[in-house]
Amino acid sequence: MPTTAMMVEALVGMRKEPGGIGPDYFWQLVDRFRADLVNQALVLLDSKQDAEDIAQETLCKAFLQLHQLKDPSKLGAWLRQINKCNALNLRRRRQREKEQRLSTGQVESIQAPRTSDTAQQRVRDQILKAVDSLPEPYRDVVVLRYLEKLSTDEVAIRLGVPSGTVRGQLTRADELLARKLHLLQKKEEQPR
Amino acid sequence: MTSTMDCTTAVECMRAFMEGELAESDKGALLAHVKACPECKADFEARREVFQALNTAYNDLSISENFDDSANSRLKNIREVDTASQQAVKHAAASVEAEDEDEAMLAGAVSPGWFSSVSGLPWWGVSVALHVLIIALAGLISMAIALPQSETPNITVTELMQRPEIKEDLKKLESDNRNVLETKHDTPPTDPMSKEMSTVVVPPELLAKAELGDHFETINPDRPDTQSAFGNPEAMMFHSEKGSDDAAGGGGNEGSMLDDMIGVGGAASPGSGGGWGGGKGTGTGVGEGSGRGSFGNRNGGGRRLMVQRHGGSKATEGAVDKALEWLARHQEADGHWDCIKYEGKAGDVRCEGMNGDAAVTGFAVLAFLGAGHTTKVGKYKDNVQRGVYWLMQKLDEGEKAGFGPGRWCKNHGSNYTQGVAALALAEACGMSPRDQELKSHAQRAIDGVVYGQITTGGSEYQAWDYDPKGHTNDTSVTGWNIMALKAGKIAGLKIDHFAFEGALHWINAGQDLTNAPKAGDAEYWEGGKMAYRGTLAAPNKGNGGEAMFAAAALTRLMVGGERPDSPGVAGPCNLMKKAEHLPNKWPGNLYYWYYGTLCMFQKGGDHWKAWNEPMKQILPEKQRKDGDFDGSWDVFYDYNGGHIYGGRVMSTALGALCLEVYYRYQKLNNN
Repeated sequence: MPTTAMMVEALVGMRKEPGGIGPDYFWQLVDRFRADLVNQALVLLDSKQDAEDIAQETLCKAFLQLHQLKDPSKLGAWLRQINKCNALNLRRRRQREKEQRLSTGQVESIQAPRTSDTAQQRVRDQILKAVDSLPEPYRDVVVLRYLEKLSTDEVAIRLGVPSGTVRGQLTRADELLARKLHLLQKKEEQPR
Repeated sequence: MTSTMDCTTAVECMRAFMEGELAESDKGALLAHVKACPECKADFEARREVFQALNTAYNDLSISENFDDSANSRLKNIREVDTASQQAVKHAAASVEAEDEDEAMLAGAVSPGWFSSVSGLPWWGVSVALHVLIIALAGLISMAIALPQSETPNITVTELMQRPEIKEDLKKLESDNRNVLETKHDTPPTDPMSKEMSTVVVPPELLAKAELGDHFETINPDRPDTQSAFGNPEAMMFHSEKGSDDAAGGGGNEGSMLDDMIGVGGAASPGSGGGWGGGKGTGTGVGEGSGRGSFGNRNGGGRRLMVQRHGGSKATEGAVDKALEWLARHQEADGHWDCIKYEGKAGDVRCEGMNGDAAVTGFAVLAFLGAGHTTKVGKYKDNVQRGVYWLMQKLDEGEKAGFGPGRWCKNHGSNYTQGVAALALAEACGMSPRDQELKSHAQRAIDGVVYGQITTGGSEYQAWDYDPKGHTNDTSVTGWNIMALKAGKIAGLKIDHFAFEGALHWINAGQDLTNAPKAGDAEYWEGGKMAYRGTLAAPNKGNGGEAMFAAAALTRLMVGGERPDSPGVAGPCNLMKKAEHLPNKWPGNLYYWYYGTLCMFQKGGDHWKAWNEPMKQILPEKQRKDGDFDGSWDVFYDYNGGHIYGGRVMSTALGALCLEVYYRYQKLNNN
């Protein structure tokens, strides 16, 4: 699995030599970023189906517009930005559809959208949001571990770092999440 | 690890504890510490809550199996329809540069028209679209054969649509039809002398099928659900959700950590389907259900791709087929392979009786597993099953993980056998993870490996000696045992991670790294020879031969997670790249070649090229083609310090394993 640095390098190479980037790159993008993008979209949207749609769309569009990315080192941030726009748009559209249905007297569909009504769903939304707000390396390991359901070793392979690093980052991510979810109030920094 | 634990270590152990990966000895220490330290207790409870919350929250949020399919078809749609969304991307790009999120949020990103047209498509619509496309592509694929893989051309729609697996699965379907059904498609192995590169070719009969779309009668006439892909949405074979392990379309999207799958090896992550037609097939039986995970490329499409990508050829694949045929022909009725009967070294304790038989059975099983034949799947599944069950039977009950007084092989050298046989069981288990009986046996075999490790007084591990719990570290024995532990780890067995570190202690002591440059500067440094046998106090640094430094570098890569440019890895690899150590002369030391092949494959780049070129020529060339020897490699007792005492079974299995390197393991580092 290519590391992010390698993907960025490939992008820089493309700059020098237009057309030098192969179709494999699309799948590299998908493998590397889809979990992160789906997670981000999940925070904004009610259904997994929609979130995946949005992530796919982001990846496709971004891939075709790679030449517009001025600073390749911001690949991840750029993708997230596009993804966020897409997700917000769909969210608005869903909202409008709902209003329309209500105003025209149509009953809500049997397949009720996922809302934040129950306590369980509220907790879930909080967690997704907390995960999405983690700094990059921690967010990456968490989404790969939980959304892609990879083992720690597989996450390491996917990111091109040693397993020990992933373990450490997961430990740190737990701590950050505990703070964000107000489960932990104690000394600011773990001695490391 | 002692019974007390400081706060830092405790925190580091907590996640492993919750994941169930923490060694027994540490569990006690951790719990004791948590009890005593109120701060860590609060921390522990908070972490546990986070852990549970994460697991619950993401429980039913796996990424859909058909995510990639949809992305693929969508990409094409965008190419054709999209103009407006380019605007949005431009805005986003601008705002990332400006670090201004809000502006981009307002910019508007989706052009609703085409979006609804895509998302409104039912799943079979996507499937139909892809199907039609693949038919159209088939011609293009065959035209693309002449293109070398490495030269990536400009982006065009047609090429984008070819996710590698699609091409592979065409081949996979073909090969599985051939293997499982043994119909008229059964063709002899390709010419072993051919030096032609293996390229992905769409066979004409598959093209014909793709055009007809719903005529798959040859596959299984008794199962209507496998016959139609195009017109029958119920065709499980091509739209497997949760197939059975033993039936077409096995695998599926609800696996635990590892999936058993037909035709695509194992998948070490949930959510990726498999099956003859690819679990997430698209209507032509050429879906994307290629195997994932550590063993996922061992057959089917992934294998074809890997052979091509890493420099294999038709000749190497043909040689593997022949070697497996030979092995299958020479298996005993009760499932084991006999060591002495086929030129094993009579009179040597490592070869006589159970010791030798269990070891060569392990080698043979590994050769089959390496080519994707498991206890449940593949042309040789019966052979694998019988071999594995024989090993399981011979594994004794007992207090020490089944290796007390009745240890498999009580004799001198038994740690060799233990390592090889445990490696075979662990890999078999990793490829058929739902077989609980196999899993429990593999776990006991692995426990036996750890039990046999040298310990110094307390619980500090070193490497392995010939004998269980011996005194002198032996690099050669260590190589096999550490590979067994690694395979066990991949298969999800429980292993004390200090056992891994024990091996590294020995490698660090025995490898001669004097004058070695620091990591990163070692790219051209030749050195890092390894001791053959020694103790930590008197390691005989660097006195071993080529197999030893190859084993040392491999251990560092596989266990230490070291980068290929660290001196302990790069030094030996540079040595192996020299003409006198390359696999370019026959008779060759297959034992060294096995270690060297795995190691150089991981090293990659020029090293792999230099190694692979002679190896992929000489092995098919020197494979016997006469009479009963057809498919085997000859045995040489003494060659430059290397001995194939295990006879023809061992040399043939090692030869096959060398040539299976392209797909047997994943590359650990991407280099």
